[in-house]
Amino acid sequence: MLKIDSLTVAYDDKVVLQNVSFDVQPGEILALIGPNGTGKSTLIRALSGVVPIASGQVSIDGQNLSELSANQRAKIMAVVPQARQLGGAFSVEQAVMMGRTPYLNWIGQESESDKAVVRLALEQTNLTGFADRQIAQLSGGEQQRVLLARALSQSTPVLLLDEPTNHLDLQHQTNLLSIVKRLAKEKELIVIVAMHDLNLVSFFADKVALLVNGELRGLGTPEKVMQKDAISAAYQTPVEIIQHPVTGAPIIFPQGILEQSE
Amino acid sequence: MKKLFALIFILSILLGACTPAAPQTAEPIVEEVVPTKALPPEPTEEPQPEVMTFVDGLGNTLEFTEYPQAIVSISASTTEVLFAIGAGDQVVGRDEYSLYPEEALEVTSIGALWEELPAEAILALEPDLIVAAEIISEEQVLALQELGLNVYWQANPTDYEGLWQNLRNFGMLTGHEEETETLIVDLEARVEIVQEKIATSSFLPSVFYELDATDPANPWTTGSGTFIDYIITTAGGTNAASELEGDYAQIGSEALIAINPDVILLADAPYGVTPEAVLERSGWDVIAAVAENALYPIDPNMMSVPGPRLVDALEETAKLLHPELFE
Amino acid sequence: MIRQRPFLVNIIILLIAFTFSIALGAVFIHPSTILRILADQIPGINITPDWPNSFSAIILAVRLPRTVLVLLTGAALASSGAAYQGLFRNPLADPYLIGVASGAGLGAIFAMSLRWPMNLFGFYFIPVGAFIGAILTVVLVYSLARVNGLVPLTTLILAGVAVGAFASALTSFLMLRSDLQLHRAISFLLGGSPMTGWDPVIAALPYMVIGMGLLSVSGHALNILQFGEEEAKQMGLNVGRAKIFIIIVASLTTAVAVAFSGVIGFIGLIVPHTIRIIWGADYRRLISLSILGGGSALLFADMLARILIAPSSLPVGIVTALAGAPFFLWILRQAKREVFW
Repeated sequence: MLKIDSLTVAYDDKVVLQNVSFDVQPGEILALIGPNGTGKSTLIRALSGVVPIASGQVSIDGQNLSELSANQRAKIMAVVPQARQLGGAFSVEQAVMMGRTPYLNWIGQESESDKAVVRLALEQTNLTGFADRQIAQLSGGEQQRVLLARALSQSTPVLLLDEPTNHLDLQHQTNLLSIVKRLAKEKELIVIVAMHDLNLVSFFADKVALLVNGELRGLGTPEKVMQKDAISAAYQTPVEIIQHPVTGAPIIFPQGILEQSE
Repeated sequence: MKKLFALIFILSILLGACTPAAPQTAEPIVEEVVPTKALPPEPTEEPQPEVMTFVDGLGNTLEFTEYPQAIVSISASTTEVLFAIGAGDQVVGRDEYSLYPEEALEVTSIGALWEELPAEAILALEPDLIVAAEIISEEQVLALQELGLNVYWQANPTDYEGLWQNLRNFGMLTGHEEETETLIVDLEARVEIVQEKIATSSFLPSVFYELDATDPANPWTTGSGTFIDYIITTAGGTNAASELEGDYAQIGSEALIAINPDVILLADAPYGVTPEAVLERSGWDVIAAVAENALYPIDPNMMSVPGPRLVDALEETAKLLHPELFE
Repeated sequence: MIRQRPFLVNIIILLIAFTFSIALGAVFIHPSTILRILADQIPGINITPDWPNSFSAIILAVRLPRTVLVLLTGAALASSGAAYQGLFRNPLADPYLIGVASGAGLGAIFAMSLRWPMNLFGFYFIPVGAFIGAILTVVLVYSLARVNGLVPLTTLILAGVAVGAFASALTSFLMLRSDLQLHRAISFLLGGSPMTGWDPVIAALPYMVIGMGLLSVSGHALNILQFGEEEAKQMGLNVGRAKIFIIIVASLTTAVAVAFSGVIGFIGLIVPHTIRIIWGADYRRLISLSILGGGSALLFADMLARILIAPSSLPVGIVTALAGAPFFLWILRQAKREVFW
């Protein structure tokens, strides 16, 4: 279990995350939602150790993460960063192999088992045919899958994804998320995903954490957290929420649309 | 691993390339010491050759059993001196800038010495002696010695007595002592004539020796403590830049105007500077030398190369400063 | 075929360059004579010399040490350049970026302007001065750029430019005002070796070999850094330590190279680029290949420098600049067509 306890993060005297606490169980997908600039990315960066923690504690199965070196931490959590144009003259296979860094020796020698892990990660993300392609020549969706494959090859119990579906079209969005969901259940991963598309959240996540101005304003199942008043207040715009006729999951859209269609 | 393979390969090439490090210097090209003295004329088994010992300006000792016959001169002044004392036939190599006398041009050039040492060109001539003037640095001398060569380095003279001594050293070194003495006697006489004539005049013109005036506001000249300064003084003048020191000194045009020299010697004439050009420099027209058109082109090589031409330099300078004494 | 066997190709090119470098010079010596002179040096083989004494001296005391020094220098500059480009993720990064060249120049010219007595290791005074100048400059730049224990790369570059400009100004001032032989100063700044013979080779060899070895094994870290420092850390790399290590090793290696060979530009820029275009940007082998390629490139440049105005020789920095600039423009054209960065 990943436990975040009263986490506070500050930059330049400005508090970005205030007293955030929640936990995530293996096999559980937690979606982080909230308006832009509210601290979602910061939380992920704080968890992965690239941003210093002012106070509070992050632990997994009782082990306090701040006591670990970068290498040790990288064996516990892997990050799929925000979608961006990838540079670098690496092939897909080389890029995914970099996820094995914490397990390679200091000169980067790859063993057969490392190669096997990489092959598996490529399979799981449907990238096997792309192994020798240059990453810079792939489409946005394909590049995101490469980053996911890299994170998977890191073989960690925890997977952090920072707005992985930005800039992706519908097909690639659903593609990516369904891969993540399937693997999360199969391998009992602890998954935290920062997301901005609220409707995808309800189909995808088991648990939702609503962050507003660095504070946790809601924590629970999608139905419980995504209530009309809470969401409207958080995003500072009135929203309507209806229930999906079949699944009962909440569907959210801005109130203005309903009015205009009348 | 390819990487390790490459590293090992590189190391082995490098180690292999370093094995010949042991014989760092080549075999000395000249016969080295035979440390016995000249024997008296009594019948003996084997007459030992006589050894001549010379000590150069850096304190290095050179020993020869016969006069050097394959001399490479790596500075202009040493070349001039060798030819002046009659040792021109013994010179097999010269540096690129040894252009005087004309006979020197027929000697093989080994290139210039202020870039990399042209070691190959020098070694290929198989010299038994290298001669060098002060312009050659100690480091370059050491580099040549490391190649197994004999080097005779000589400091520049600061007055004519020093010049005679330099000439004598070379005379002894090359086996032309008599010719050298004759030359010195002649040169000394010429110097004395100038000195006698100058003594009759009480006029001491101020002389500006112009090395470069590309920026007329800040021309370059030669200060005190130099042979040029000494020539000017001996020729019956004073150096306008005597407050400055060294071979290359820069003076502001304002200071120059205040000093107001009577004569300007244009040592930059070979670079295209004419008296007319000087007349056009703004502000310079108030200088006495400019107003009276006492602007004389002069050969900088004659004035500065530390060889016999320094006497020509004295004569010419004296004539320019005191024309009435030399009708 | 060329693409499949990078090491083989580069080793062959290097051997060719090495051979030509020993064969070329102001004096023509027949290749078979050269081989016999070299063979004679191998312990156990004795060949009766049928060549003049001067030829042995020329090959063993002049050409061979020079060739080895040029090879080492080119290798050091190219591998440091590759490391810098990887570290800064910038195609214009070269080993001189944080002030090594300007510091070395200042140190060397300063040493030349003092008159060090020859008997106290006189020969080494200038290279040591250059080396100290280079190191002090890098340390200064690094300290200026450090903020709260972190060294942001952009700040490092800016500090390097500023300190470098300052050092160059001081160097120019020294050249103008002191009594030194300007030619030697200019020669050093354009890539002229202040020492000849085996001495500089023996002095520089251990440092260069160790430095290049360490750089070669930093390839893995450099690969990861290509994704950005944050992601590199998330993948488990100790980023701070890797950065310092690479900066120190690359700077020291470059400083030693410059100290003994003068300031030679473009090799650190052009060679890694070329290798990257042909054989890809995996730093684990890019650095080793740069070692081989840099050695070859500088050997060829040095040969040109010796041939063009024989019997005098151009400072090799002029040749690398003249050849390097159009080459660089060609690379820019390539870059527009594909992202190889």
